[in-house]
Amino acid sequence: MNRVSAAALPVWFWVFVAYLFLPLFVMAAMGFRDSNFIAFPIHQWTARWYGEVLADAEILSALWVSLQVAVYSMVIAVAVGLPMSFLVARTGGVTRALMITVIVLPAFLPVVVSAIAIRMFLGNLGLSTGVAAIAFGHAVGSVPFVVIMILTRLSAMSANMADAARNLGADDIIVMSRIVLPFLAPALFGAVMFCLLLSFEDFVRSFFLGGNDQTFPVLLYARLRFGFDPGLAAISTLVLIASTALGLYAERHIRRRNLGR
Amino acid sequence: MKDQLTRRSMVKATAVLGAGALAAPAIIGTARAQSQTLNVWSYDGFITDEFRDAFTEETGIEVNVRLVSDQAEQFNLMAAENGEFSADIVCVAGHRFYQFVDAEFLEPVDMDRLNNWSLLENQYADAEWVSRNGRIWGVPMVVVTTGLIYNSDVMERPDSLSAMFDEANAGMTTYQIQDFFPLVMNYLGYDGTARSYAGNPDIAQRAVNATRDFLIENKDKVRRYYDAATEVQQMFLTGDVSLAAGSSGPAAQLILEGFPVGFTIPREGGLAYAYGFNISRNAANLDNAYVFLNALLSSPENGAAMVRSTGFNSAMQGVEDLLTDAERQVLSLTDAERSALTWVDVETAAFIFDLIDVAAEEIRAA
Amino acid sequence: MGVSGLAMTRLLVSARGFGPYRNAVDALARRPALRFALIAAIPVGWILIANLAPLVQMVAISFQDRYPVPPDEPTLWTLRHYAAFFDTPHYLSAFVRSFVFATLATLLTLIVVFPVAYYLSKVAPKGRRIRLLLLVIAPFWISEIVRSFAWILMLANRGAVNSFLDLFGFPGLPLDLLYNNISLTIGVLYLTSLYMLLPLYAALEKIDDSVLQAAADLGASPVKRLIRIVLPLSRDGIVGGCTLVFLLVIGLYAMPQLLGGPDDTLFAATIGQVFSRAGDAWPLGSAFSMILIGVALGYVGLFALLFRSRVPRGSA
Repeated sequence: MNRVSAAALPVWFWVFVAYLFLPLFVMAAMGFRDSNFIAFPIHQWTARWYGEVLADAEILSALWVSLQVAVYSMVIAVAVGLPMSFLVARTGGVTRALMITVIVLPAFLPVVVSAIAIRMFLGNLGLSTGVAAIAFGHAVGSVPFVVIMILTRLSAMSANMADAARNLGADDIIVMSRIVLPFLAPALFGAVMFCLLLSFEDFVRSFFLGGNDQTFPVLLYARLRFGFDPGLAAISTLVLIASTALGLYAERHIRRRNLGR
Repeated sequence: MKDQLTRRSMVKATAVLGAGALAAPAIIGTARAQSQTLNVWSYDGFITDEFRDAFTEETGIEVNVRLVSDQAEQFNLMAAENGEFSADIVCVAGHRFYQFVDAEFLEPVDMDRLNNWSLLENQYADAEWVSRNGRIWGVPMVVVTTGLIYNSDVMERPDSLSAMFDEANAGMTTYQIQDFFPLVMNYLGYDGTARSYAGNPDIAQRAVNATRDFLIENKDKVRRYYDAATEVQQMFLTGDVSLAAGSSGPAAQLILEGFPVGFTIPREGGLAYAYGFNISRNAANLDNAYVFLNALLSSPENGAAMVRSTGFNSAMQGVEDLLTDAERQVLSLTDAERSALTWVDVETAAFIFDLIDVAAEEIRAA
Repeated sequence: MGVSGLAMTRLLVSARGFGPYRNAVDALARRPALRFALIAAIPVGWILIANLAPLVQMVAISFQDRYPVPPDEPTLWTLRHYAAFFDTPHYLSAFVRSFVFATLATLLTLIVVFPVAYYLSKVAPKGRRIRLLLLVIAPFWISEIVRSFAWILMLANRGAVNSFLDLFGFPGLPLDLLYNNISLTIGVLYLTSLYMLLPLYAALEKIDDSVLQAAADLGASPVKRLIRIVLPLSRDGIVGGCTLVFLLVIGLYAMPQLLGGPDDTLFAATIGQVFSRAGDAWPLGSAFSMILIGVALGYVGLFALLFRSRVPRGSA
């Protein structure tokens, strides 16, 4: 039984990975199709589409806007979500349930409704649309994810740890940066990922809150209107490769630094 | 297939020609507007980079283009903007643009300022579908016709809508409910344009209900309901449907690609309407908007670029001469088909579309 | 955390040598009320501005007869948009279907993803965990629409799966995989799995390996260890993951529309349709959204409460 379960877990994991990646390999292959559409079979192959999207200034600038928005909205959402989680963690029972209810509210609001409401709200305040507005809109949608993610670890953190440190003369800032945040690291990692991913993929809020700078999904949806060409498959594949490479580079960098000193 | 150009690069190539024509200053006129910007919402492929650059060089007007992907999102955004519209020109024409007129989002076109209106094909320029309350509200760019798309390897050219409800095609058909609905009304002997129902909502409601019940009864023939044209193309390409109610553009693109499909207007009729540009109410750069629209209409190359990116017929004169033989062939309709087309009647459409929207929800949920 | 962490601690401790800084930090520690107010200011302000203000706006619209109101007409107030929901059976059925669907999808995601999270946090070699995690996250950088089309290419009549089986002369092809519950399930799981995985990972990672080892040494079977130790200790992760996935699925619109069949209309799609018909649809759409939020929040709140009362706090 032990041996079976020991073998079953890695198998299950790799099957899961295959499930995630198989359709994407198909998509990557479609980017090489010498045609204006994506479909099986692929009779002729070409690298033209990959070259074309890499030279497409509209796509590159949209990706740049999306990247900026993702990072800004992530910073806002974490800055708001972290103290919010501390507040929730102090409560229990019905109060806690009520607080969580209010916090996750924006996530249940259909996104088109939320986008329209935020757009009107900004309009009433006389604020302009653009990158900052989109980042704010995305942060509104991300905060619930940050809070719930952080609570998965914060609730279990024993107060003893912090108290012990305080007794040893540590102040709030030391306790926070040296005990609480490191303990929360895996949850914070998840929260940051959710913020970046949710922002990078959002179309509706980006459309309603954007100015002349369009994010990548807005461009993607506009291009999809008159046909799904292999260029869209190619650029999606390139985004996948670039983001993975960036993630692996960051991981390696952090690991090296921790080992190196 | 090797040396075939891609859709996008072809659009670019033709637009260079367009820029050449644009260099003739007489066509653009001399109006130099006070403010040097123009904000435009547009579908992808309607305004090429080359045209835009040449336009800015010629007139000094900077054009900011925001790409949009459908009519409803523009409606919602304009409603949220609450009168302070960020765009001078929007891209809302289509069979439902009366909603924009009725919500007071648009400015009627001042014919005295749009000199190049005369460069539109006559049959499109004076069609009733651009007017509401006696005024013209937009500039048509491409003409959409709806009918049947079929896989020519699998079936003969269908000449009637009955093919959509034929047991032989069960599970292999698809349609967009709201767009298909008026055609089915015609097929069942009602009036899809609702022209004859004006002032008689009870009769219209009964016609809509009967059509709805018919479609629910035939739900088993449908593989799925689609929303966007891209989905229809994909379903044909992957062999999941062999017959669809849809518009000419997606079909034309597939045919040009060598894929075995055909497009036809069934004998019960099809609808026609236009995509194009409209001026928003109280547009901040109104003068520039007219300069821009005149420039756009001034060269058929712009029309050809739009044809190539959408697969729809152009509303502009002289575009046909710029197309390849294959493109002309694909876009042409027989006389019988042409006579089966009815223009969406904007004056009566509002009333019937409201009923159809509710019916569509019921069909979906049934 | 290593040496750099220690240097950081030294820095923070030496910062206490700077008088004004120390005084400020310590003064704050002596005034719990002020400290609490400082921590609470941002979240409370945010909730008021970002969560409640837009909501109030939409609630107001949901009671208006039409919106936008043309410039020279009066605003009329009505309940008819709420009544429309209860008067029309098919709205109700889409609503119920949404909740059943979201609940099933959440459970399915939990069952599929739990072993993956367990493998990543407990079994995989320590040095490789983050890299494997990044691998699993990677596909989520691709747009929902593109991923949906990728699955269409996999499952279609002339898709990858059917073409592959055809190579081996499989009988009865093409298999009907698309635009039905199979494709819908595959597609939903494809979007939700990460939102279950990361909370579970965060929760499982903190379980002490020695606890599991001790249980194993005492002869507890894997199943027993799972039920008695792993599940209770990962409770927060399970609740968190289920909440995230549930709220994601309730709002899903594009993917079910692209991969589902003609009978699979969900309530989010109904609301989307209302807004996509343009015209004066906002009041109706807002009213429907309010109904959806009300019930969904109640559902999630109840779930959280039930879960809490069964397993008292601190028992873990």
